[in-house]
Amino acid sequence: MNLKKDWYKWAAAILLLYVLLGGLVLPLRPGIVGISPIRIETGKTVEVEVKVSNSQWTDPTQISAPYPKSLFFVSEKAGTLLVKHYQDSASVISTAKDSLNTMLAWVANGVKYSVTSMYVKGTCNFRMGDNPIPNEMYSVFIQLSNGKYLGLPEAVFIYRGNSDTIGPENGLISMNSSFNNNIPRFEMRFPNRTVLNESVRNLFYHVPMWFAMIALLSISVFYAVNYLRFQRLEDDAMADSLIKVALLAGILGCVTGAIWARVTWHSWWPREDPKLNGVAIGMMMYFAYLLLRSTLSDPYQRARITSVYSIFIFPIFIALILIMPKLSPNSLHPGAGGTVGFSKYDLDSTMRLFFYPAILGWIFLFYWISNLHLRITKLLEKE
Amino acid sequence: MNSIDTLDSQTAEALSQHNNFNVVYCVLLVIFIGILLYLLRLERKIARLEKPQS
Repeated sequence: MNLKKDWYKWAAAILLLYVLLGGLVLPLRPGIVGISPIRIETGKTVEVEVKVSNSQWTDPTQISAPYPKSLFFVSEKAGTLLVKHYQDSASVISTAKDSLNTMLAWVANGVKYSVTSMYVKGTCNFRMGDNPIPNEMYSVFIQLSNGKYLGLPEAVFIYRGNSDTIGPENGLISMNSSFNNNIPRFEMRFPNRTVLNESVRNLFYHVPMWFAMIALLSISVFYAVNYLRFQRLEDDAMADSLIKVALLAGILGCVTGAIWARVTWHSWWPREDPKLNGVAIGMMMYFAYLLLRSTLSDPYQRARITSVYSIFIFPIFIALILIMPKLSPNSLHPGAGGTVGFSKYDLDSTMRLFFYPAILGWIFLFYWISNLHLRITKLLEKE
Repeated sequence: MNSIDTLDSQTAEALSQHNNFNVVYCVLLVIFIGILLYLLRLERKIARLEKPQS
């Protein structure tokens, strides 16, 4: 291999090896997986279990990782419920936001640890007092010893039971507003997001398929324009190879996206998502390109017509998969509709370390494959 | 079984599904198979090129 000419093939191999190893081996940060039960009646003694994944809290007596200090039940409407929780013994504090008397009592039975996950088990007895908003979804937060928080939004529904009579009965009242001492610190671990969890790694395998497709199609437009300028069949063959391999990347993007969507969005192909609809039409246009090309036999006529066609459909394709989803009011995809893009603040620095090399690596690999396709086409034409 | 129990069993199900690492393997497998099939197609074209020479 000629290093000067084939540098991108080496780059593809090295980058993809790095992305595969790092993307599969690096662990996730801890995150709350769930709380059980998800409905809690006030005025009754309930056993609550909060499950945390990837905590790496193995032994409570020899903790090197940040350990849980307090547990919060938070609702914007009904106020903040706070339990201070120190490993085995628990002290009970409840806070009231503004004038709402949101009362809570917690008797912890101790924290149970296992190697990869942690359960906080405890019995609690909520008292709503004269809280005017009795039925409400609460988010669960665990405050760690390093000041960070683990959270699960809208995790538990707390509703007023029949035996919960008016008036605060037990517990101490104190104000708590320590939610802003979250110190950002770089960790070589992937973020643990609700719903996504481990599948967040697909960012390095599903998303670059589309980057590769768009990159290859852009280069093919360049060659198609070149063909129209100089009438060299070589340029047309290059553009054709690029489009065919770009379609391969697009098909792989669709299939991998469908698998990912089945697990996280509970549907193979959510019909209301504008990005998916755009991609479906866009892929159809490029399948029509294949069809058009196969019907024409004269090489010059075929090259001229398909070059013009591919130059025209490229901006439409970009509009369908990038611009239209952004304009639409809602989308499940990040960076489309009301959701923010990964680059805005969702993508954290550990993900970046692997995401950008993944994009480059996959683009190089697909470019390499299109290069093979081109060389074979050239040889076939010579015969 | 009342409605609260049903909801709790759903939570238990959700708790057991949080480890979705298998999706990542599935996605990688699909990409691998897709690229492999494409390379096999190219391989067949090369075979066609080699035929007249041998």
